[in-house]
Amino acid sequence: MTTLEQLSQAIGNGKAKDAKVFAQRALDEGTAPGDIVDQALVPAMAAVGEKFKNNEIFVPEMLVAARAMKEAMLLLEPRLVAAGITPKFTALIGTVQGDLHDIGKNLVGVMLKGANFKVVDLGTNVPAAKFVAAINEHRPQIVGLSALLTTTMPAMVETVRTIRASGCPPVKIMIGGAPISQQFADEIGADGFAPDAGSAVDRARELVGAI
Amino acid sequence: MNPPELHVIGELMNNSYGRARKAWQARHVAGYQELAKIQTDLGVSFLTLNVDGTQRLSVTLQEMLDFLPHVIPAIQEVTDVPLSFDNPNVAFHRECLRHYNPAKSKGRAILNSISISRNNIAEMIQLVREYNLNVIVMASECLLPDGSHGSARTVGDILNATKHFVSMLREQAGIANERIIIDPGLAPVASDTSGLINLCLDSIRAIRSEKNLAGIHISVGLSNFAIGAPKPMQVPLERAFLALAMEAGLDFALSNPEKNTVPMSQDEKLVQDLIRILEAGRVRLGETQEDAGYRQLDALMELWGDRN
Repeated sequence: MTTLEQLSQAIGNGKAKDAKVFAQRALDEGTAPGDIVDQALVPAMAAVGEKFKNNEIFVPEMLVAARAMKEAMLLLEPRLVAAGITPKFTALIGTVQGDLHDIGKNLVGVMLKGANFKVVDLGTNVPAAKFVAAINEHRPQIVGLSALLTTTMPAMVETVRTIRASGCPPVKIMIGGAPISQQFADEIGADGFAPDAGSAVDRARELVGAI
Repeated sequence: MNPPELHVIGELMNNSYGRARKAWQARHVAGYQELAKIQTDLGVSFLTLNVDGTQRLSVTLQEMLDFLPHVIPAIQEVTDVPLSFDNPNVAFHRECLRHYNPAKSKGRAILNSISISRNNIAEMIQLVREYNLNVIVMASECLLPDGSHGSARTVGDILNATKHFVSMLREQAGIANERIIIDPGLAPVASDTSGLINLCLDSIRAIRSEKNLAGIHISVGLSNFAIGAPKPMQVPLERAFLALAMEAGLDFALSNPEKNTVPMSQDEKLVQDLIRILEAGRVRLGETQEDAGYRQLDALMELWGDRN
């Protein structure tokens, strides 16, 4: 097995220490950090997302895989920055105003990172104006809005409306959460909906034209 | 030995369940009556009525308000079990209570729920007073020092939120502890890297050790616990958790009475495994919550076998 394959396997199995060891070894062997990301980290996390969608693995496996990827990334990041390599796409995510729930939003965040998106997480209870300010600052291609409560769904409507009316750079808006459906996404003019974190990544990649 | 008493709030009348969704979509009151009867026969203490939208179904407040006058009297035709009205919106509760006949129930209805982040607390408490209700308090949200609200992270946060609402309910609705049900918040164990399951159990114990909170009830949304775990593990996990939570002092559960309202015996292996898993999640000297949280996940995953 090549070092990159071992690294992929370590990430897929959620072995954070191994992931760090193999990422270091790949660097020592002279593999370019960008290639390590493209050929080991991203495919490993894509496989994790696929298995999750197929019920072959579950939420904890996805979380430990993401953590292993993060460990490898910590080693690679300074070198990527030095080489001027940045993720091609940025996603801005947050839970809408009035809503404090973050489990689903965090899962989407780790899976987007796994797909090599730069992820800016605004946290929970985020007012519409804060999304707009962050869009102007970070210039994301994707904005992901989360809501768990039926009472905060109007805040989602308001956030989409405010972003669209703000004159900020164009973004694709994705929404999700337990009470959120494709029908609701269509009604409020969101560009995408996904029922789970694995599907959210596929949808985000579609929306930015990466697949 | 008889298990300690658990009051079950049956949750089948909720659009997350296929049968309820079908009944809702057809606005078929007989479908609700059937779910009410099934749960009544299973001995539940309360029946949740929740008509929220889901990922498969969009529901507007107006659609809810239009249906409540039909469905509530219909449910009351077939059961004397009191209802638990589940919605964060005060207009929903007002409409429910307008059509609910307390004389037909063998106990007080429940208003589910009030919490720090709601902007309608005064109106909700007014309803509790006016209609003589029990009330569920979500104590998993707390007031932050800057006056905003956030998720409770410590036992102190949950105790403070509890005490805040207990004194508010005492003063403004004139009700005693016995009519208050505290929900400390139950997170899914499958994504619990923040020690939230331990926080829930620790908070239950802390509430039980407070003299001023004597007689108060404690409830959790049991179905939350096993979300994200493999399907065949979900009911056993819920029952194992129930064993630990009841030992800590839980006496209510919002749950599916067809499946999981019976706690496992303490000496079942899964209960012992869960104790060990949660112990693995305790933060040790010199490490972060994240370290402990991922150790808990590692221990949890061992429950469903080898991963290469």
